Amino acid sequence: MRHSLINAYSIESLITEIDEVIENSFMPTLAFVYVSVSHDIEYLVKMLGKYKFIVVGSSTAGEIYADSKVGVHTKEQSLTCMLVDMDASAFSIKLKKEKDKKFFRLGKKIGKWSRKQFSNATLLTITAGLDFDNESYVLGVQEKQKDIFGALAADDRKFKGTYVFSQKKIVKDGLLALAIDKDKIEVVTSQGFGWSGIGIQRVVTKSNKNIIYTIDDKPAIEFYTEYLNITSDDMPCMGIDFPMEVISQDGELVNRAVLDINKDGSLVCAGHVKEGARVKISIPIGLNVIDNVVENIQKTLDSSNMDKPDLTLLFPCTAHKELFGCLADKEIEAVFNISKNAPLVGFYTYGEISSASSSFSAFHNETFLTIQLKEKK
Amino acid sequence: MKKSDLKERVKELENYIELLEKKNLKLQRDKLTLYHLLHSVNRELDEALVDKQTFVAMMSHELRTPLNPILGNCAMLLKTDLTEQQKRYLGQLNESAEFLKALISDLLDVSKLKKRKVKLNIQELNLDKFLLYCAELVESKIAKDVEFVVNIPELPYYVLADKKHLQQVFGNILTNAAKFTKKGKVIFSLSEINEVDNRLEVIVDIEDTGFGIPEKVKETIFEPFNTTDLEQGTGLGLYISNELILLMGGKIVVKSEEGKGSRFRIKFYCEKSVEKSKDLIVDKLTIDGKRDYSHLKVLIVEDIELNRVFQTELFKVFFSVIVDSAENGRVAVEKVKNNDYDIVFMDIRMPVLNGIEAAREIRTFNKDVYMVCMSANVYREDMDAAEQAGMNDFIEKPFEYRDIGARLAQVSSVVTKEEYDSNSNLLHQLAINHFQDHFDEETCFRLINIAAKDLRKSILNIEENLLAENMEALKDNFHAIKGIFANLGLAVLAKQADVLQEFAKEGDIYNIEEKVGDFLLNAKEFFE
Repeated sequence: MRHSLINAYSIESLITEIDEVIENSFMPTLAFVYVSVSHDIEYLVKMLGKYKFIVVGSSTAGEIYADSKVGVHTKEQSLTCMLVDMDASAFSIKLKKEKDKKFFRLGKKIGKWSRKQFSNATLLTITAGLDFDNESYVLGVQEKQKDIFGALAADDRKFKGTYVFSQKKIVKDGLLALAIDKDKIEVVTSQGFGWSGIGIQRVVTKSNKNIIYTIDDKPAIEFYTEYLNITSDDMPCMGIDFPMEVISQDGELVNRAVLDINKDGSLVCAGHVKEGARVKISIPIGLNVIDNVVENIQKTLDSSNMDKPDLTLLFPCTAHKELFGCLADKEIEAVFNISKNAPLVGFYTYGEISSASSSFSAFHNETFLTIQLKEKK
Repeated sequence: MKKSDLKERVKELENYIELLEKKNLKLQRDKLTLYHLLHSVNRELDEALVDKQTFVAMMSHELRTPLNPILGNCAMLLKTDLTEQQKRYLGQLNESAEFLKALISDLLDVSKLKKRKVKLNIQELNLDKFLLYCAELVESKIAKDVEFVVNIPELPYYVLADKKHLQQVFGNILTNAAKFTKKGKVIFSLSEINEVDNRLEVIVDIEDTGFGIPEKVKETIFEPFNTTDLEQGTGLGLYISNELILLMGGKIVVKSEEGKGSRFRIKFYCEKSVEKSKDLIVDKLTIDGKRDYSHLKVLIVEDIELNRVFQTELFKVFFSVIVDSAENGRVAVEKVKNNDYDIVFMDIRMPVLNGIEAAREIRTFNKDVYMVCMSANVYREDMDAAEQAGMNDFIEKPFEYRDIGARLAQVSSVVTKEEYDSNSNLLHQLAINHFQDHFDEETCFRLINIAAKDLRKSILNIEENLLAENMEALKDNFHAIKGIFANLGLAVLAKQADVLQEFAKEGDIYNIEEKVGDFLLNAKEFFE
């Protein structure tokens, strides 16, 4: 598989460089285009319309790329593009706008669509929209298609609006789905967890889907204000950096970022939290977060037959970027090394989707998702 | 500004930027170190807490073991000829031992709940009858001047719920109401049942005109060791009740006014089971009372001699079964190899070879013998390990003779698949045997015909929904057919339906397709 990595700070430069690759190097079949919302994405999509390759596009909270030639980079406010010439017949793309808030049904449709594309399919999906009910959507997809991975688009932690796009269309509230034929492409997914609950467990005493009204019969906001001494102005950033560790009644565990505080003191979470669930505030485990990510990749690579991936896709939570700050490259470098220096591209997300872990939900927060792809011979 | 000055200024700024970057890097590293420190300290505290809880659990377990023969011997002694005075002394001894057992059980429950080791045991339950039974249990504790009002409407269906833990909750709160109400009323009501998201939301109210809860403890009544009763009680009952209800996805809401009374609203969730059909209902307690177990061969595996002797006596006195015993797992394995037991009661923690290992070994050469794991330390892991080792059931020590009766009844009705295969008409005969102790011949055949009609319908539904891959409908279909087989006393088929229901719940079409063929084949034998 051939590839080319482009990082630019204007749409014009990006397009010029793509043209150069096509003219001088190879004809790409697939492009991962991850861009900051500081650029005019609608205009970018218009410009991308002239190409024949499939575009998997998303807005981000920071762009990531690496290969042996350019080294390892994490960027902000940029446009990052990875062009590859993988077998185009192994991919099928769909962009869909969410219209009626029936997320489970939407997911079911996408799962059905994916299964129709290939008899042995896996699904990469990126969702856009701050009100998009990812948990219901993922549950819907999994009714028809168990195997799923992906992320939530982001917008530089502005929380105004996120986007996904292909070479023809841009969607603000909706999703992008890329069905991949596993008979042609080997896919290995791993997920790093680096946040851990501290303090005592409290009980969610009133909730509805992703809104928590009371914890231990007190307004849910007190859960955050007591620990962190913050106000609603500090949300959603603080709620992403210090998510809730949620333990279901079956004892399974998942992290849930808190995206907003309503006027009544209820918390708006990134995923559903049922009444009776136990919650703790959680913190990152320091530099060990990187060890956890690397160990998990190593484990999944060891248990697969994949020698060296052709391409690595990364979807780390935006909280990783906030946690490591100027050391963010270190984490990506570690992933790049463990992936045997395979070219990688990704972006910092508002949430991750993966059916690989044994958690009760395939929708996650605070994790570091890695997907390694290799063409089968 | 001169060029040289400008250069110097640039150099200065560059140095300053370098310094800032270094400082930024240091701050970043310090932040990560602090997170690491906080995480490590929290882990240490968690470990210390777990140690404390493990100590409490171990001590509770050790204290419970000798209670087993004390309570058992009391029960056996009460069956002998005694003078009124001896009966009174024995009654007091029994009461104190029961109180001690309750205290230790509470402590163990708290420890298990804190460590999240409690596993709900969901079974079919006649909810209205069960609530009336809870009311009956507490009736004798209600003061003379207090009216006990019970409003439990009859329900047309069974539910799937954890009977033991619900009884613990209602027992606890009703006992409190009885204890703290000296005049007026105690009202026990099944107030509401609503269908919410394919589940039943059940609301039970327990109201009293008692002392009410003092303001100062209102906020903390669900915390352990908080009690309004300073003379009796451990202050653990409400904590345990609240935690158990939370585990069932519900909650307890309390309204109380000091001097006027309290209302405990208990909301919990359970699943709807099969519709009640009066003809098909067989009361297990009635069966136990009538059954003759004298032909059954029982092996008791228990390392503590006192317990072994007591259990042997209990089985002989109450059930007249043929009892053999083994002092550890190794001896048990040998005895099962050389004897034809109907049921094995196996302790977990034993020297030489523990119960789990012994069960695993037994299953390598004997797939049929019914094995019941018995332990005083009922943890989720123990139950899972026992199931994985091939044991069929779990019983908590100290047990009462009713617990044993239920297991013996079970083994009397268990038929192996080989038996099904060897005789295609056996299903009919088994169902008739199951009914004929309780109904005349005409009724038996009428019931069998009703069941056959329901079975045909269920099988058709399953076949249709398999084609449509409709998991939600399949889940209901398997659930319904499970109820029919359970009512017919066909435990093996009911179990197979249960497994398929679980697969349907998980949307696991692959496993359903693999197993459903055999199941339907066996089920259809009912019509042959």
